[in-house]
Amino acid sequence: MLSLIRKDIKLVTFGTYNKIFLVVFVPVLMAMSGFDFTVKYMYMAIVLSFAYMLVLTSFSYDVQFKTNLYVQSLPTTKSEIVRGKYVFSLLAFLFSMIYSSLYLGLLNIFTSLNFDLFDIYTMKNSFILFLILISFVVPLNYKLPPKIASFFGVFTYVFLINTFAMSTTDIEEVFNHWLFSLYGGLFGILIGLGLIILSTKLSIYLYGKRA
Amino acid sequence: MLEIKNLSKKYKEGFEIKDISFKLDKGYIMGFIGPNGSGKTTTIKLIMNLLKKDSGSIKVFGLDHIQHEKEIKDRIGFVYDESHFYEDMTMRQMRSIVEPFYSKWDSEIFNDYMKKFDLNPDLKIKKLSKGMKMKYSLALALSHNAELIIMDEPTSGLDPIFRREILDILYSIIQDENVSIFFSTHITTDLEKIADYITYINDGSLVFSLSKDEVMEKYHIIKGDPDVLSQNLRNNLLGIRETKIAFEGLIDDINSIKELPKESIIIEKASLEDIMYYTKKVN
Repeated sequence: MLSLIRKDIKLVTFGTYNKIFLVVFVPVLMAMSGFDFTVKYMYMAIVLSFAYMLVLTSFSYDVQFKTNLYVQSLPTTKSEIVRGKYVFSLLAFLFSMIYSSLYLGLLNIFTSLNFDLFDIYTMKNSFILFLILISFVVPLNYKLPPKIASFFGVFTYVFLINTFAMSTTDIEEVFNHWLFSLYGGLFGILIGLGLIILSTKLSIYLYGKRA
Repeated sequence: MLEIKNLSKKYKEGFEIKDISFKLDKGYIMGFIGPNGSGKTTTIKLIMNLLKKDSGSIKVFGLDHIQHEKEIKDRIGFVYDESHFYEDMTMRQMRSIVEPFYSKWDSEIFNDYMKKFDLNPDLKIKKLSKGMKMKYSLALALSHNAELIIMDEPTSGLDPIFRREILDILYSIIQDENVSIFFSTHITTDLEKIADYITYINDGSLVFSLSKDEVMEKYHIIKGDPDVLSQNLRNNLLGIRETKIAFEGLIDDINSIKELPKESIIIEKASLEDIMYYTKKVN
């Protein structure tokens, strides 16, 4: 499985375009937002978007060149390929969180901006949202034709981002919901992890049936 | 090395692989022939467990191909008929993705093949011609000490010079008696040059799996005037092509035409192309 994860990491980091993407994605997203969000929600949107783009990039290369067919012929199994994708997604989130924090931290140091970076509450909620997002998006890629999967993926992403991360009106209400707050927030994470496990099993089933 | 027993697979669209059985021993080259759409690629995908079989068994190196999938693939060099690489990557970058999957990857062998094939590792894959991509595929497939090389139409779409080069490479690989090669093609002349065994499928069914010599001994083309073509002879022919002045047909039992007057017919050894043509026609 390590080889598969390494493959995905190489996919999102090779070549000039990918490197430029890694460098400019966070500031571009901040610029697009006009820097006028409540700080922690922008952080959440950036972390989620960045991690999601990394996952999407790895899928898109496989689809674009049908390389998934080649990967299947290597010493691995379909179920390992699927599990590798989920592990990579979680690593992408971790990387996104650290990278975005560093990025925003540097902005804190060198500019007059003041981001509240290491807010566990926001990080936890970002993680729950990411688990929900991935649970829906990954199986779509193993079931639907690439363009349709991509459409539904973007739809799910926009819906979650808009509803939970970027809505400034009732977000406190949303995050005070029992799903997020029960047992000090652990319940939300458990629900998210449960969804990921179910989603992994579903994806393995779907990919196993696919030619 | 490779043993397939009663393999069947049916697609929703209707096409099916029907009860195929054959065997390839260590140190031999088996050509897998059949017309386009006869089931060659499906069979290869079933062997590689890229498709799920409906029934039958596939054993590679004496091991079940599903239970020991990773171990088996680690010992197989697999080549597709077309490039499924990340085309934006250089060959060096692609190699760095493939390499960690194999337990016996040998960079020295890989570099030797790259030099031998005159491939610049820093060139992007999308810049390569079809022939160069095939050579690159071969370099990847041959760099982890594979014991079985499986190739799906490796010479398809290549010009005769590239085809000849690839056949020469395969021939040099087989000098190692521990390696076997199984490759599909519809270019039968390729097989006449290097194959030890021929397995022929048509419309999803096995027609035969024999040594090349047996095939050449068994099948004959019979030619003659139309008036020689009795109903009995017609029944013995596997396929026939008739004009007003002559007929030509394929026969798999030379003894069945012993009684025909020799001066009225011509008997020739059938080529693999003749066999494919006539058996396809009769179906």
